[in-house]
Amino acid sequence: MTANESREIVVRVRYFNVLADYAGTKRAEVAVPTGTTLRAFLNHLIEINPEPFRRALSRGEMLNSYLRVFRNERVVAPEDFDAPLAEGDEVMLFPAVAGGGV
Amino acid sequence: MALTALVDLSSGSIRYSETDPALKKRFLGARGIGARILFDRVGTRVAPFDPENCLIFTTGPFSGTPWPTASRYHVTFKSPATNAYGYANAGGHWAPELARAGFDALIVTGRAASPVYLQVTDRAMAILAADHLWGLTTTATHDQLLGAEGRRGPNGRVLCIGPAGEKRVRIAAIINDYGRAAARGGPGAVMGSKNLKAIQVRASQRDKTSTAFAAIAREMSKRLIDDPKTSGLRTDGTVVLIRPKNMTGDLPAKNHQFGQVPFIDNVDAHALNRYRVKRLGCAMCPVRCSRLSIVPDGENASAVEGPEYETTDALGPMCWNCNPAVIIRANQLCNQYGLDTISTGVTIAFAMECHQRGVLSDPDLSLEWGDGASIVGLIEKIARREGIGDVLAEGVQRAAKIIGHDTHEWAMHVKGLELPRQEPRIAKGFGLGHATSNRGADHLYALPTIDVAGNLDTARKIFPAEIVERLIDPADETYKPDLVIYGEHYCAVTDALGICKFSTTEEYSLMPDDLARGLCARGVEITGAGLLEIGERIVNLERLYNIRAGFSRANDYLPRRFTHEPLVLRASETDPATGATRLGAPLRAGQLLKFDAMLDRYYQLRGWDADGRPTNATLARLGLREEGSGIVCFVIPSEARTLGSVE
Repeated sequence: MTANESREIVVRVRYFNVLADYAGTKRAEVAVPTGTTLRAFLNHLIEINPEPFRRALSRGEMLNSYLRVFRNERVVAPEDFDAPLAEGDEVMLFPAVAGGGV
Repeated sequence: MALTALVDLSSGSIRYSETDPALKKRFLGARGIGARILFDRVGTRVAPFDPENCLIFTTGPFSGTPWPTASRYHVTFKSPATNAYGYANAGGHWAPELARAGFDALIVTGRAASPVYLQVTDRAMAILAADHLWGLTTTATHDQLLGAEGRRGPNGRVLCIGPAGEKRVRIAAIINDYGRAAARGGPGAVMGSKNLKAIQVRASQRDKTSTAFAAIAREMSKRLIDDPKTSGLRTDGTVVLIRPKNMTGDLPAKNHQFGQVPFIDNVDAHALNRYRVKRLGCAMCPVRCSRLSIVPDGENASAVEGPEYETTDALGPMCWNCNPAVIIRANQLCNQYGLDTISTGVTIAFAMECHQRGVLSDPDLSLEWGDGASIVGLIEKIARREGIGDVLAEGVQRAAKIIGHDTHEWAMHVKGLELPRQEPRIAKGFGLGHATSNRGADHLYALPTIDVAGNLDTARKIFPAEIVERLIDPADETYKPDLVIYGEHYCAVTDALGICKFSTTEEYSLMPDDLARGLCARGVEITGAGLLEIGERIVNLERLYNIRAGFSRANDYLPRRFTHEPLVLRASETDPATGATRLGAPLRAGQLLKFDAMLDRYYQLRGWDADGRPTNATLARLGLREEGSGIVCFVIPSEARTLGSVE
């Protein structure tokens, strides 16, 4: 393993629903520098995917309110987006829609 | 002890009895009790508009208490839309008033010789002449009965029908508290057939709530408010769904020819909020998802409680209508005439597709997609049964038979009830739920939200770990039956308690054990699992009602469009010139629903045979042998038959 590689971590990503269509896959492994926060990781995903993917994830600087983000199968609270990711973490991105009217 | 009242409008008699405790033990309340009473009283020889049909208004054990969202009443009847089991359910303030007047159930049968209304007071009621109300809109009827002080005055609460119900329009609703609707399946038409215009309730009693129960109710209310999953509903109401549904292809448009619209910026929550004057909520609700909308001037000047999501899609994208002012005005007209907004929008979309394909025209209206004048004009004609409105007033299933040609291909219904506003080729669990619902196409019979909402935490609480990964994927059909069945049971419990699904199956903020805690504090010893068993019993009883009416597997199918016409999902993009949202390139091969395998697994998990009939063993397990006896032969080889692979 080179010095460069040791400064990278690999994060697993699962895309759901239309995000899988935009990304062209349901699952991916993405290498990012050690210390990358979840917020920075999502920005990286926006950079490496087609433009409509960005629209599905965010409006301006804000994540879309209907985007549900999981880290290791737990919903990420707003204050936890700036926590650094770890090697082997799994991030799930879910455009959440629910039922209808009552 | 609360009462059941039996009102015979033919004879004018009213009988009171204490509600049978055994009935409550087996069926809990509201929806469960209504189902059992209908099963007993309205058999196969009774047609929906016969005097012998019943309208059974029921409340639940939480009605009239401080339990969060305990605002809903249930009305059960033989449906003029499906000619089988029917019910509708509404929030507002009418149900708590009926419960505080001391009634669990109000059974209306017979037919009055001339228009009447019921006036309910504490543990009593009277049948009064309503000639002066007949022909009035629902708002005018409320105003007449409540007086100048309206809903804030001392004259209680009202539910009523409008002109559509009086004319037995099969998609007619009951409207209560000015703007809430018990709409699905044609209860307004049944009420009209009885010459019953309204029920006014004025109670002076208050629920005697124990300190322990009040504390649990407060805890649950706080949990609903604190749950981030309800935040969208609390800020924007159900129209918060419109934009993400458009992105995922789950926004039915042009009579389900599309799942997205290119004009989303015109009809999303942001656009509709421009007309929102204030937020509204039902009794005891911390979510408050409703709204008052006003179009201040112009040809669409109007004011209405709404529109919520289903109405917005039905009268908007389904009809290719991009004008939010038309949606609001059309919503107001439906409420005034007393029409189901879902069925009305779907029926108008059906008419527009018939016109698109050259088999329907109208001397006054263009019937072109998106034409606001045609939408408004058809609502008027349907409500009055004028011209083609008389045909469309029958609902899409019957209208297609009358019009002929291939129009049945464009009639979006299951069992005769028009489809609610989900796209089955994308929201596959909802597709199955629409099909299996015993009241006809219905998103609220199962409300299988867990996958489309990405509610992983709840999935892990309910389902075996080994199926969760596939169950949570909206695109994977394999375990959608598991999702639908759990939802059907929990929805039945929710309806039986008289509470709103926005506290339970929409977001799963409250779980069955939470509801059981509340019931225990009111002296009903039960567990969450026990509640779900009652839910299963209710669903099976409703199924038996329909089997007795001649229904079978053939009645559990969606329109052919969803299994044979691929739906193409398109990318959502920003137009660089205008900044508006537009639809771009196709994203994947067209989607179809693989339906039969889902239905097979659904029946197998339920303990039903391949034709959808509960087996002997299932009925015995649920304590329904008595109800099942004599309907069909339940000793069938399929009890030991393999219906397909179960993973």
